Amino acid sequence: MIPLEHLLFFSIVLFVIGVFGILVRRNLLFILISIEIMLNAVAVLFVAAGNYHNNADGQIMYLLILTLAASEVAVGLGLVIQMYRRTLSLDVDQLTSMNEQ
Amino acid sequence: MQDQYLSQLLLAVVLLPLLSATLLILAALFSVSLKNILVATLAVGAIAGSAVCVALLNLHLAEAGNFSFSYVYANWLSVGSFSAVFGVYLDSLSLVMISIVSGVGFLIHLYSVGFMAKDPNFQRFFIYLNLFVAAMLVLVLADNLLMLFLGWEGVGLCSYLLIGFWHQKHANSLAANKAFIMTRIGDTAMAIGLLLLFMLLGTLDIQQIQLQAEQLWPLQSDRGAVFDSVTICALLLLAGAVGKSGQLPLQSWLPDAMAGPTPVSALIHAATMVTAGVYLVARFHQLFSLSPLAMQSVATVGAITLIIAATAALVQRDVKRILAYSTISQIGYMFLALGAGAYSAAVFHLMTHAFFKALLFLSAGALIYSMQHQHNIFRMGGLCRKMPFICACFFFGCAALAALPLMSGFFSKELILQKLLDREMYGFWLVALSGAFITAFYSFRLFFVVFFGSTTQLPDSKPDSTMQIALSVLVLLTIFGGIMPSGLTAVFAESELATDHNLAIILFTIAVPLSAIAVCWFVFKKQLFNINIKSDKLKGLHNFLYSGWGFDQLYNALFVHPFIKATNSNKKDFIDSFYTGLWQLSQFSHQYLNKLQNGQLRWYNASLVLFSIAALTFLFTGL
Repeated sequence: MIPLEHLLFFSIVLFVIGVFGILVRRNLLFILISIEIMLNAVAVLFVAAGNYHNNADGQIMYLLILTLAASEVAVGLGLVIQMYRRTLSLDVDQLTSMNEQ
Repeated sequence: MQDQYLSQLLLAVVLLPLLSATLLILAALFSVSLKNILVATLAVGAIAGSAVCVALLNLHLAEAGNFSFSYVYANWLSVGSFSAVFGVYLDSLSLVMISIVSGVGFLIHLYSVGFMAKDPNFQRFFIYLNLFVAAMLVLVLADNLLMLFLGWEGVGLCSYLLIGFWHQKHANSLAANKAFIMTRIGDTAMAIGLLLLFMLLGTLDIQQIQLQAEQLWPLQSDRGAVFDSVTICALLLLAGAVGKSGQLPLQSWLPDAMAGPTPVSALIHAATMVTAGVYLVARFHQLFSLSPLAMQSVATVGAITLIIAATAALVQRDVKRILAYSTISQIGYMFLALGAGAYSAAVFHLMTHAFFKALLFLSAGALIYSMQHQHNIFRMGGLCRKMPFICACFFFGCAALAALPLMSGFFSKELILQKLLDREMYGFWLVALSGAFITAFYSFRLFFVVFFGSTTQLPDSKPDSTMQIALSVLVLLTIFGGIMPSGLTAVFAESELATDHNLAIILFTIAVPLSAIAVCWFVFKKQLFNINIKSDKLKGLHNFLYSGWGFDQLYNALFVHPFIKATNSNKKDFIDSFYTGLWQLSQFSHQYLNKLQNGQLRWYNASLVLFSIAALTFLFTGL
């Protein structure tokens, strides 16, 4: 059995990788991927905690998160396509039209 | 039964002018155009009704020697232990006052019908005039201090409105403001005195106050002049009286108040309102008698004002300003008499002064009316033949003012001088006598310059018939009005006039004005009044006197200019700086916080992450 600390550490590392990806990547697609990584980090944490408490709730939460991630990706990819159609690029730094001064 | 009769008469006296003013105001509000004749009938009729009621009162009370009558009509305010009522108090003093107010008021109303006939604001004029008479009657009939104050402020308001009646001219508005502000200084002091009296004695009823004051602060003659509570109260009331009556140091508004129409000057600024101060002191004579210091102040104020105003009148050129300064000076006489304890003499002089000063002002008004609004006496001259009627009016007015024998002014002024001698106040007596000399001199200077000498300008119109009627009645009153109202001495609990008149002194006091007139005639014949003064010193003296001893300049330098400077330096209003600061702070923070909202998604994310880390750190370590 893997100790809980390892799992926590793994989850935190995954999450930080996701955050880091969101902050440094400019491509919208990679940002979406980073979000997926963060979601998975949380999902791993749920499963690990459920296992630790001998409880199935963690796994149920994982299924919910999976569904959420799927729908989120659907919306997100739709936005990606829209963005590409409008700007012919996926660079989020170019999306500053709301900041009209 | 008798009480009811009296109370109903008194109610009618006060309400008639008020009712007529209200009707005229309502007509003006609903823009019902009334013909001048209708307005005049209503306004003059109301005052006439008032005067008739007063005459009935006089008839009814003629036999009663020493009477006092008080009646409460309604409750005005009652809060806790404080209560004020609509009540009247009638004794010989207030009877004399209401007789003057309604009688002289009626004559001046009558006169105004002719004088103001061509004015487009005829109705407005009579509204103010009626309102004034009503307020003045409230003032003199009030049985408590609050109601007295109501009338006091009412006459102040009407005076303001009437001085600025021709407000299209800026100087008139300024004069009105000056009068209002300067009397307001006195009124504030009086209001403080009123509250102080209520705090100390717990009542506002004038008679109660004086009864309690006599018990609380018995007169101790050995103490001399000290500041105790009764002195402070009396001095505060005196400050109010001084403001209203144009005495030192608040006298400089009265000459400027001549900006109003001449009937107003006659009614308000000569015969009635300005004597309210004299009435106030006389009404509170028991209170004043308890404080030697207050009495001394009253007499001193009167004596100094008398001389200052009389000398200022010597060099004026405007006929109305001469009369204004002489009014200040004559009220100085009254204050002097009050301060000497000769209350009945003061009120007697008030009465005769009301007659002859109203006559003088009204004939001056008729003069100005006929001379195309010429005010400068040196532009007139030789008018004796051209307008004999006005000349005669002026002669009797000036003679009474100068206290020539057998005129009404003679008896009252003589009485004041006599009382001063009786009380062994020789210093004040000398001041009053020299004042009498100057008074005779300037009044006949006015008379000679206007009516004798060479003619320069011809009159172009004749005074109206209503004006002539009013003037004739006033001439009769001026000549025969020198009868002391009975009962006055009883009100003030004074001893009857000392009978051992020293004949030499009386002859001397008669000789003084006569010699002044002789000197005046001599100077006039030499044509010294209108020469250009060469020497610088004399010119300086002339300008000093002409400006009324430079009080206007003094007050400008002391109060007006510093105030204007202070307001100029604070043009941006330092209280506003808080709000401007608030605005500037939000503007400033807007500029900097605005940069955070740059539209960069990753920048927002970074701040979100940073905040989450900070919040988590705080949560885990702080708690």
